Amino acid sequence: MHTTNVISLKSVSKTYTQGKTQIPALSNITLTIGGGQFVAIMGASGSGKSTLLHVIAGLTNPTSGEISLFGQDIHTMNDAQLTRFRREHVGFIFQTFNLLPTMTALENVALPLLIGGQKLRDVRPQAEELLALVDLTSRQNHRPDELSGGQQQRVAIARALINQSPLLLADEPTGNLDSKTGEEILLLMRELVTNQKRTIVMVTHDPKAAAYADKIVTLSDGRVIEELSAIGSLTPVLS
Amino acid sequence: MSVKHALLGILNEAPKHGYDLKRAFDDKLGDLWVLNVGQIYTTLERLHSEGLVEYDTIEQSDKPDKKVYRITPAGKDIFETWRISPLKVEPRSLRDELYVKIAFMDDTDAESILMLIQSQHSTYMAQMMALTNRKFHIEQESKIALSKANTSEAQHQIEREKVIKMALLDVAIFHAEADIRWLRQCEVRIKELFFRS
Repeated sequence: MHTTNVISLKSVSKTYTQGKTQIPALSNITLTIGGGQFVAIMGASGSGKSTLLHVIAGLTNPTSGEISLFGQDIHTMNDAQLTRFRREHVGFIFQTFNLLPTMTALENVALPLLIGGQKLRDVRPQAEELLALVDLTSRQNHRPDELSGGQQQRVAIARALINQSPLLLADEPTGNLDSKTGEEILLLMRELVTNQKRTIVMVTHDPKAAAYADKIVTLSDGRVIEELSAIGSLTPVLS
Repeated sequence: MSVKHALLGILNEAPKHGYDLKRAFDDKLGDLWVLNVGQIYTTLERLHSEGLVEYDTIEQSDKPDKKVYRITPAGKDIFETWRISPLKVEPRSLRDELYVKIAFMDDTDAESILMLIQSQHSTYMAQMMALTNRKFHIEQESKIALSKANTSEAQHQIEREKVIKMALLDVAIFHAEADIRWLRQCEVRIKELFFRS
């Protein structure tokens, strides 16, 4: 899994139809992302970066082209197959955290398994372990409104991890956080990739956030205009 | 920046002979400032003649005598005053070579100026990735070191080292970010100029 491509897009295009006009959101995108990589997708608003993330997640169908995740073609799956596939392979992290306000941190983390029909008492140890990983053991019985933004996002990350999802998709995960808190979230995401070999694809418009990635894919007008990989070289100032 | 204050700062921690001073200097500031032994000795001589440092001579049987320098009370005063005084800063230099290229941009060739901006943008972005990678490693190393530190004094020392290293990386990253934002703004303005329809 870590040596092969986790994500592979071949000539993917997405066009929205508005009345009689066709609005191209993605034009002919070919892209591969390897396992254990942290990839940032950048671009101005309207460049297609969120659409690209949605297409990778199988939340939006492409107009044409092929998408495979972990070697499985998702563009041919029906809704039920996609839902099951996502539950087993993909975790999501959102800008607005998307926690359920009436549930505790622990219950929110366990939620994907509860939806899958498991009992809280059976999955509690797993949820507790993940809360410990994101350093929130002392907050497990707090509800979202009793947590800071950074703590809520860490709960959301723990929730994204509970399915053992090897792939995490993040849409502006630090967009609602101050820079120090945002940095803590990005360091945590970087750790998940470096130490646990997870794969993360993150959409961001913030160059400081994108700089945590191994590779930055830049979109403009629905096209990939650049793929920049981290290299060892550094400015003389800090070599 | 002044070598004088950096050397006083090092001697303020403990007396040292010339070579140890150089090593302490490299340890603390070597990332941003390359100094040769000669500069260190010249500065020490000046500090000595100003009465800010003094030295003991230690005889060595098979080598030349060694001077161990220490800071004087007058030196401490100068250093402490300097340490808490704000800088009389000049604004950051605006003499950016890329700006000079923009000032001479070819009106008939929008593509080449936009490509120049894009490739400069990539350079800054790659630099930011490398700096951020350093930050991640410092964070990881200090986590490991903290888990092994058994006194609060040792923990404080590790945290302090981290804060100092991060301060340098942060300023480098924020400068790169400023350049990136500036280039994006230039790109938008130049596109508007050439492609306004």
